[in-house]
Amino acid sequence: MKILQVIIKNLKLLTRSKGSALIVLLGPLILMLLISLSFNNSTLFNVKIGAYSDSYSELAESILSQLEDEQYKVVKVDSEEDCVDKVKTEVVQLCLLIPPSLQITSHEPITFYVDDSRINLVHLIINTISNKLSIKSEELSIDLTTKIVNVLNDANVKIAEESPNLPEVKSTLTLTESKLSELDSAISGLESTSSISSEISNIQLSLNVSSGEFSNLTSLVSALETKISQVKSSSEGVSSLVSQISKEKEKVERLNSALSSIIINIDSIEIKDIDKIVNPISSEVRPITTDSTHLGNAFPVLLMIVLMFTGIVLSTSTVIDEKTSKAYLRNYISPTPSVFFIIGDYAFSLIIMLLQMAVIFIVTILATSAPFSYIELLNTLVALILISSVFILIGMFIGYVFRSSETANMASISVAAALLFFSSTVLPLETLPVTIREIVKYNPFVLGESLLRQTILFKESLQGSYIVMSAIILYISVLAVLTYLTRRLNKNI
Amino acid sequence: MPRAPFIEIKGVSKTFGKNIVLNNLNLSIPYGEIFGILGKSGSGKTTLLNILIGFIHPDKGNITFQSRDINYDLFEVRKQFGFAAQEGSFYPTLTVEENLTYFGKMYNKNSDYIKKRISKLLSLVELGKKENVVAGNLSAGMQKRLDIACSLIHDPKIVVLDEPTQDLDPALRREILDLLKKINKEEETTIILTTHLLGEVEVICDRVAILHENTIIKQGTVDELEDIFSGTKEIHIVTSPGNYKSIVEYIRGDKDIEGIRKVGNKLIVYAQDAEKVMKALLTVIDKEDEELIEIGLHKPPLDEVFEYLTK
Repeated sequence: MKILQVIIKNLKLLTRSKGSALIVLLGPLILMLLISLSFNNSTLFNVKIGAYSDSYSELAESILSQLEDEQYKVVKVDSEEDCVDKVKTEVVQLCLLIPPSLQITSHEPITFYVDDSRINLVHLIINTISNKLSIKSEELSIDLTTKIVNVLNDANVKIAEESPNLPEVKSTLTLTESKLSELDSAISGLESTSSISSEISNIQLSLNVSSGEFSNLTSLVSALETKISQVKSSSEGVSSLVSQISKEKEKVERLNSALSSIIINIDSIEIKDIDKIVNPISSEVRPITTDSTHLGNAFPVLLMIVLMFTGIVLSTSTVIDEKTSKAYLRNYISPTPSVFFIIGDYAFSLIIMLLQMAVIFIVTILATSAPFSYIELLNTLVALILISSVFILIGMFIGYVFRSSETANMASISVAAALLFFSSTVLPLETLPVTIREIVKYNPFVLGESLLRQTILFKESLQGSYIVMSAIILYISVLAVLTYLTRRLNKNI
Repeated sequence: MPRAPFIEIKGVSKTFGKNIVLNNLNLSIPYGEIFGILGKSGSGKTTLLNILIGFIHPDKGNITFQSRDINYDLFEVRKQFGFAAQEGSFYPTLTVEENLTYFGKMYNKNSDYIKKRISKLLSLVELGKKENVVAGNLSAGMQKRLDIACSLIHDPKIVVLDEPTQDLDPALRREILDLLKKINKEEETTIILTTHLLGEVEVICDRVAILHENTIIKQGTVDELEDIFSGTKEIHIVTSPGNYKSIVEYIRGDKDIEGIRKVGNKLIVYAQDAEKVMKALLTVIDKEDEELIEIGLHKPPLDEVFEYLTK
């Protein structure tokens, strides 16, 4: 019963303060609603791809058109440096460097330049781009394989057409072989006819030959006639065989021409390298960060998280502590303008945060031996002051709006969580619908992260980030005015 | 002879939501006096003080300080005001000296001035050896004295104190009241204080305003307020052996007598014509063989006036 009374009392205390009730009961609901509406899918929206090539081949154009769809927009840029710079400044999310006159036979890979510091986006984007490229690669692979298969089919048809002739050619040739063999042996038998000439010569020389010698001649002539008749009989069918050979020759010629055609077709296949056929488009991923830095890509994000939570929570609690302190009334009735107290609280929080940052930087530099020039450190310091100022003023504003420390702390943590969720830390901004992303890109966390990446990772000067800087300075101005007005309103009960 | 108004509050009204806290309130506070604002709890005393120091703006009416409207010259006027709240208004985690230095700076005083002033104030509020003690570690009485010292760091012409003896034991209360008298005398500071403790007002206030039902119903010196019961006086009698019964029986029928009360060994008789009743009493005492030890005429105390006015 007593526990129930305690619970009822606490509920009453909570609901007596409208601000507390709103923050405690509806705050998380609103936050959840906003986040779930914004991140209701994991699709990338309106991702810009920078592309550069010395000369765009047909294949290069077809790859770019393959990439371009509702999600991706391809922007051709003028140089490789420009392409990489655009990734650094987040004008594009990825740079595609295409080798000049890219052909399927080219050995140079397509290079992706990505910002490794945007860890979650990089993996998502590489994954989807690789998928798209693999689709193109698959198409090309299919083309190549189709060509090979077509050649094989053609060879198959031609061979199938001509192969039935081969047994016929074979039997003809076998027959020809036996006939010619017979003819050969018959012709060999005609060799003895050479003695007829000698005998006739002998007769001519002696003029008077014996009858025996004539009978020899007669028998030789008779033998010759026999041989000749044998040759005649052997050469019977040779003429038909000749005509048959002529026909077979035509077939052999056709077969030869078919084989030549097959060879030409096979020669016409440009890609015979198995790797190329399987993976016709090769690519590689390169980070845009300078080689000289040893700082992790996540360093700016980690710094931002520390800056944001420390800035908001510290300044909120400073203001709340002051408001609820016994000395508040005495401060108020002193002839010190409000702006002095605001500047004092702001400067206090800033000093604390810069001290924290100094510790973090010293440890990081000592641990990683990361080289930092004075100019780079100065740029980083300016960036840190600007970013810290935004979060400090947000915290101070919250501190002046809410009366109880519990409500103010909850509000400050909720605001910090919302800023964190609507940044690229949890999910890439590119997964947000375009209209929401247009708003969210002005999230102080996103702006701050961008500024820190420029100064810490890319070693860029602050002039290059003048749009981000202007937005941050605008935030500081608006928040300073709001904080001042809220303090004044808050005091004049 | 009352001096010209140092602070004048004219027609001041203040509401919080539907709750009227002050309604057409008028008040004049002269220079150099200790001015008490007397009222029951929740009568609007603190609100009145908060309006006086500019922490709360009135819905209606205006306040002038030396004929200057405080809202038109707020920062200059604030330099002349010191304030000590009910619960103290200093940083408990800073030392006595750090608190005084900080508030001195808030009042645009330079370091040399602050150093000298701290020395003088610590002596005045008897915290001379406590300058390096953390304020939160001081006793309740010392914290109250530190708070008063903080309100005096810029040498104000007026110090406003909200229930300065609240939650203090009688000894500490006396200590603080003596300190206020000392400040009023030595620093020539006009002191405005609120209280619901009538005894305090009688002890230190030169002038009193009674705040009741959202407005000031009476203001004047303590004597002037006590004169509200001008017709009635108190006769205080102490006799030995103190057989007051017979005395009471003797005088009971007298039409001038409004009431009789025995407080301890003292008999108090309330009478319109006190001199006449006193003579009659002396006769009875003589008759009854009572030895007269003390007899005197008194005005009714302020608490009775307050009760009468606010009932």
